[in-house]
Amino acid sequence: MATSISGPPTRTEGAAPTPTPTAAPALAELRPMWRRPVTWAWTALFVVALVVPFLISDYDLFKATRVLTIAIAVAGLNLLIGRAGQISAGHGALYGLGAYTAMILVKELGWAWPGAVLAAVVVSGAAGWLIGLPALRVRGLNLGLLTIAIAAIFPLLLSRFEGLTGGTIGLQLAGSPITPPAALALTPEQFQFLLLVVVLAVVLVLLRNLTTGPMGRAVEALRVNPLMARSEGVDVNRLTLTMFAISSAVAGLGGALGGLVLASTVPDSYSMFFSLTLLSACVVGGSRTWAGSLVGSAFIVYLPDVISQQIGSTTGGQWSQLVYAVALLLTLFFLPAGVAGGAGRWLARLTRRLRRRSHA
Amino acid sequence: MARGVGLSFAGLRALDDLVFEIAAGGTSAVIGPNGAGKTTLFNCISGLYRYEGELTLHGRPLGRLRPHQRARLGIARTFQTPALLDGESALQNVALGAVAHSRVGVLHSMLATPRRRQEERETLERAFAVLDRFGIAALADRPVAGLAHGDRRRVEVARALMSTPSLLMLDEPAAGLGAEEARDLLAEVEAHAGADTTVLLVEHDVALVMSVARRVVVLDSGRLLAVGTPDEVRADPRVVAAYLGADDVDEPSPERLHAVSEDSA
Repeated sequence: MATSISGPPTRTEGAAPTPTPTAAPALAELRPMWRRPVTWAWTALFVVALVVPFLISDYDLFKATRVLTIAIAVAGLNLLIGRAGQISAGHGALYGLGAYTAMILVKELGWAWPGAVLAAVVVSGAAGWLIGLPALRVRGLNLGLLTIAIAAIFPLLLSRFEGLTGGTIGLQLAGSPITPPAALALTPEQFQFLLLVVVLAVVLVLLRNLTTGPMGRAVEALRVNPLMARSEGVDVNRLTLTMFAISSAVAGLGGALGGLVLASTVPDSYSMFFSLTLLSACVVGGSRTWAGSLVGSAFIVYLPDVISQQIGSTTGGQWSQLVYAVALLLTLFFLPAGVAGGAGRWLARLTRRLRRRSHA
Repeated sequence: MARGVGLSFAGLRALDDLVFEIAAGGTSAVIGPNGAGKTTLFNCISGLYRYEGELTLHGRPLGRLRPHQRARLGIARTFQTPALLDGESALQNVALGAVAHSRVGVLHSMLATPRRRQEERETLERAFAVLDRFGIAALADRPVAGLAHGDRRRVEVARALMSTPSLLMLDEPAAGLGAEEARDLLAEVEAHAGADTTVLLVEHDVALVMSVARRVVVLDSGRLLAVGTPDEVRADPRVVAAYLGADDVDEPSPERLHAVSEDSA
């Protein structure tokens, strides 16, 4: 029995014991995808997302598109933190690296945006692989500090290499290169939102596939007990680097699309604070659920808006940071598995109770 | 199998110039008092420690092969306290044992290609069959965190068997189990492993070892004390002296050694 709408059915905790164990295994793992409630929940969400752009204003859509680009980066972070058990406090820099790579290729070299996005994915993936190298020796808190240093240095590097990055002013385009084909009769905002919905869906499916099956078990072993993973035949070093590379490539993908949609990149957007914000989106949403990437991303994008609407824009900024910290603490105390993780567990408990009642 | 294997930790001689050979197939055992270097020897064989000297597996020198490479050559092991994926089901834990021979890389995994789907189906079905043989198929989709100690150990042994190892090392498989339960577990292992698999035990329970092992390696403070059949080892004056000399209450007393020899006589 798949247990939650909050994540793909990678585990079977809370499942009722199989009544006839020696018969052909009627196990959740072998049940076809279309019979799992999770699949239906995600499909429904996807369909709703395809309709949304025709219901809300282009301004709101623009904001929602930003949620999606950041959700992509948070999903990459979830892979690294929730699955592989590594930590990166520097994913904001990789998001920024993706954005800058794509912007430079489009602006200076005149590349078409799909090519620029792919190149940005490759560049950030390679950078992530390099960041993974020290992770082979350093773990836990020290790795956190090391990656925080990367997050802190990145904006300084951007200002330093002015010729390439435009220094503190950054890079701007007259308009986003991501425009709808004439045949589609969509506004750019509608097209960008739909594009991001599809990209995020593809990313989540790929990551979900990666974390189930043989690779998924190897990654789980890496997180739980690297020593045991080694003696089970997992090349722990190679797997760690692979996870860093994939996670960073995904963050770079989010950044590249985010930068091109905005048609502007400035160093201030990719400060250390942004890296830490991504980290808190990962924690608040729930690092072991894929839905958590959406929840966490919506949290960090909309919270400042909500606060400034409630309190007024002058002091809103400070208040938003306070509310932010309080929300983070509350999540850590009451929902250690994140909002999506907690909701998933609650639903699982509910369905189990309902089933027991219907049996009785 | 082992030729001059030595290992030092910060000046402490943990293993000293071990030379011994274990016949392929069947069950053998490493015994010795606490701190004799039994688990250290296991860690050397699985490649978790670097050591001096040379280990060969079926005539193939293991050299400086890393742990995962040794696992792919067919060395599987369990740990003193079962090392499991606590959040996962028993079935998933057992299926992890197949990872050493998985032919599914990152791309196949991400794209869920037919190759991956087929391998996954075969792995899960085989994992279920192994659980079934150990009599715990009913626990297949229960999280292992909540299982009883004996069942956790069974899951770990089942996982080790999933890689169809040629050398299966069990680190104190009987610890925490009743005598009956331990004997059953070892019988199941031998039956399932088949004639080609060499099972190597580290065990405190000398009586159990003497009754199941064909060949026994006795270690004491990192030195090799004796190698041979249970009868030879039992007769070895140095072994008797070592066990007589041990004041430790936990250690098997000579009476127990004799009791076993009378049983088997």
